[in-house]
Amino acid sequence: MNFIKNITFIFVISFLFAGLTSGVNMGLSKRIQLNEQTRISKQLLEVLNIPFLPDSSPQAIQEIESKRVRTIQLGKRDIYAGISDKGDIERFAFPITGKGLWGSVQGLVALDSNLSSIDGIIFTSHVETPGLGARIDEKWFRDQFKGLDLSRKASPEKYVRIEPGSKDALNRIDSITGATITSTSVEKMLNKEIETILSDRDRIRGIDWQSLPKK
Amino acid sequence: MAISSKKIVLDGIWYNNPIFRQVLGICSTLAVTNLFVNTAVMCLGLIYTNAVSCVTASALRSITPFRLRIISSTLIIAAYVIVLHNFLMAYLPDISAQLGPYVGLIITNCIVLGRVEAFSIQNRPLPALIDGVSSAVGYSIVLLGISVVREALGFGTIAGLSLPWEFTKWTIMLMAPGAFFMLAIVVWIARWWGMRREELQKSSK
Repeated sequence: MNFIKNITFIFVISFLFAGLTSGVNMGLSKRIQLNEQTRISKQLLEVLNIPFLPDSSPQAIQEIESKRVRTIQLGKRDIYAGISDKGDIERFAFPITGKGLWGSVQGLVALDSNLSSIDGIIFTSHVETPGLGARIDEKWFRDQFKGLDLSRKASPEKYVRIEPGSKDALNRIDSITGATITSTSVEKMLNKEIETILSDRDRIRGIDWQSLPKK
Repeated sequence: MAISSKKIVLDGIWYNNPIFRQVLGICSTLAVTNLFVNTAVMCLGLIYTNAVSCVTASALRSITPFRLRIISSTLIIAAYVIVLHNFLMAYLPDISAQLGPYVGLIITNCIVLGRVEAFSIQNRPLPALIDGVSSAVGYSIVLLGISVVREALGFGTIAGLSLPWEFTKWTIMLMAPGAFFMLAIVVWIARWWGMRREELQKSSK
């Protein structure tokens, strides 16, 4: 009898608390989704170097995005263009994905309007170790990529090298101590994605961005 | 088993303080104490979780089969923490992002399971509530103290407001080692104070 009592108890209590959590989740999921969207939009604006107030409301962020960002699907992915107030293209942003130490790493890389140098990088989602691999989110790490010249290569097969070493080495970024695998993963994904982007260079330039519908 | 509320409160906050007496819940102490605001949110989260988990475990104590108490306590705690996590993600997304995995880790915070297992399961809901809250308050006082020092030395601010004078920031205070030093100092002072009192009491007898 004890056996049945135990099973019933666990069943009932699981049912009750699962109901509680799913109820709360259902009630809040819309809001959470909007927050998540806003977070990604903010990151897109940041990487495109479009100014916004950090505590802007989701609506304000959307408004800036629709004014200053154009998007188009190229191949399988979206690419974004940052437009100045006058309507000139300032820079492009491309989604990048790769495998990190614990799971997939996703981010955005911004290139200048000539697609000849990196203007910024940001990671939108990853599950790297907090304090080690997760430091790819820190400004000092990301800032190193700014102005990286893509017309020269770090080595025959790499545009960027992320490794410890001398500051003078061509296109070298300081890796993160204690996060070798994350650093190498970022290097790998970035080189692969830049290769793809540059192979599409002419198509991207050929797009008439001004005529694209607003986001 | 009637224990006076005053004793429960004093135990939770001082004599049996989860941080410097039981040395429980250290992982969040190290992780979230470099900013006062984050720490405060984490502390409120723990007070809430501890309070509701203790009350629930206590209310269910007479129908909980003895062998299943840990698994049902874990389930209760997990459910409440998921609720909290959802609310943070919905209403305080920035703080939620900064606290990262640590809110979810309240589930495994030894203080919560410790109080439920050591106290709530044998006591009525009201004393369990008092015990849960005072333990969590004991934890919060220590954490907030540590966070004020770490933020002041590391960023030169307190709760985001800059201090009136300029000095070289102690970057180490922002990293885990800074928390280790601070925690050790707190435990040292609290233990020294406690031991001194015990000796005074002994010699006066």
